[in-house]
Amino acid sequence: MNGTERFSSRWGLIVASLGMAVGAGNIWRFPRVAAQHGGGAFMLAWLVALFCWSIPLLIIEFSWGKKSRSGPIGAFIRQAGARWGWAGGFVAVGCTAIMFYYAVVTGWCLYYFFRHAFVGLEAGAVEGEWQQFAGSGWALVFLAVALSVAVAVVLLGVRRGIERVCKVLVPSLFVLLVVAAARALMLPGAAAGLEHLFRPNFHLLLDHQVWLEAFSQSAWSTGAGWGLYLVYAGYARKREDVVLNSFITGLGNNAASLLAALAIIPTIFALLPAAEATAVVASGNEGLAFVWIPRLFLGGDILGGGVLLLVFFAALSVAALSSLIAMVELGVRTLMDLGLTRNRAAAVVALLGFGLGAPSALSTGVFKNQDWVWGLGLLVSGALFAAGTIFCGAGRLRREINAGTDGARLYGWFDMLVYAVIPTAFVSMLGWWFYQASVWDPGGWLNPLGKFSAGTCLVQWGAVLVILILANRWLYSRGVGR
Amino acid sequence: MSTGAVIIMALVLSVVWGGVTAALIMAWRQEKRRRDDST
Repeated sequence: MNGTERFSSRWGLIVASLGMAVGAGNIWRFPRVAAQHGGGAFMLAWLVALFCWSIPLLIIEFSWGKKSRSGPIGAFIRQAGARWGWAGGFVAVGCTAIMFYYAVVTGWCLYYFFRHAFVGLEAGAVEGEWQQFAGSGWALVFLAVALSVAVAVVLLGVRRGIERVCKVLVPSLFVLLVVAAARALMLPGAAAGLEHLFRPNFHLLLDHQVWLEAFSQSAWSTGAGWGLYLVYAGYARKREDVVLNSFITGLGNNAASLLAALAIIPTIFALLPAAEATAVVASGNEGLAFVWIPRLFLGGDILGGGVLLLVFFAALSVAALSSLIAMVELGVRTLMDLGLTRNRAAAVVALLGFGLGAPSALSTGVFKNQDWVWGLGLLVSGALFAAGTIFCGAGRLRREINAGTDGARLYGWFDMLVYAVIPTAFVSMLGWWFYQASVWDPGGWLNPLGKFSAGTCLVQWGAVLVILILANRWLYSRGVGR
Repeated sequence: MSTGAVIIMALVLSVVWGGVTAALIMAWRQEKRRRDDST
């Protein structure tokens, strides 16, 4: 990694990290899941998940990245030894596989933003609009647009590209979310949405489903265990504070999620009777973002509803794009570690992104399968970071972090989280999601061709793992991590 | 809104927004101290 590949300032690193963490899931998934799974009880469980799963993993990633100055493969080899290259490879492949279909999501957001800005959406036609658009040639065109923008930013490099763009995108995103939340809270009846979002149903804290949904949301939303924070940490200045930066990223991500929830749930409850509003929040990510929100904002009795909808799509596009940039950078960094120049690595990632993202753009079945497989794969990636830390000793890593800082320090709680809480949370989450698959399809939950089966996860992860384990010696021989 | 909902909302918002604001202020003061030390 040459000397120019560094963030110029602490602020540059913070905005890039927030851009990485805050994505479409903060806006279209968190409000829906929080409202659907217990309101106040979910919120409390979600805070516990932030401190028990996400922040410890962000600390591990930041520390490994800053020390190794390389992508996930090099970081695992450098930190845990030559035999762990495959684990870094799994993290890199998992995140890149998400990039393929996440570029499709970013394309959807951009399409809806431009469609509404220049042509205008109509409340009565939004369902037909979504059905016509999803899987069409336009989805493919906007996949190309999203990838082109992200790759162009990455091609400019860390300081001139990623940092400069995130310094515009991330503050803009927070401003857009504040505007949307302020408008939503001024609607008559918005208090019903707040009541639903924060209702004090403490008995639900005894419901395992609330905890598992909260931990899953926190794991997917903060970017912990994806390898993205590790890559950005590789560009951090030498004196960056591992612990404090990780807290800023985790808490900042949740702050954006809360703003999105304050914008969306009160609006829905202000415009619909409670029973209908509850049905709307259960309508799925795409159904909520591209059908219900446009229908409510345009058809409901909201002054400036059209402008508010434009703000919503702008926030969604900015959030998705800043996360896509981080995912493209992870792919590029990994290929650069294997010996390619930035330009060549970016070209390879662009071609792969379009070629392997196209099936998800053209088929919602493929899209949902990949979202299922690699979304759960992120839990495996997080567990691999914890396993690598356990292998080397969490206490050793903690002492290394403390020795290299004049700021925030780690204490014994970190060891306890790494040794006990993260492994327990991983086994519980993965086991529960596989159990869910067996409930959804009792006869086919092990079918490798099933859309939401445990079998499809095991086959796709297994294929990647076998190839990476066979290539482990080659990965090390390429000099990655040395 | 019920009192319970108001309490949970205040708790969650203060932990998340209060936490991120405090962490950003700490980072800013850390950078300022380092700049002062180096000059």
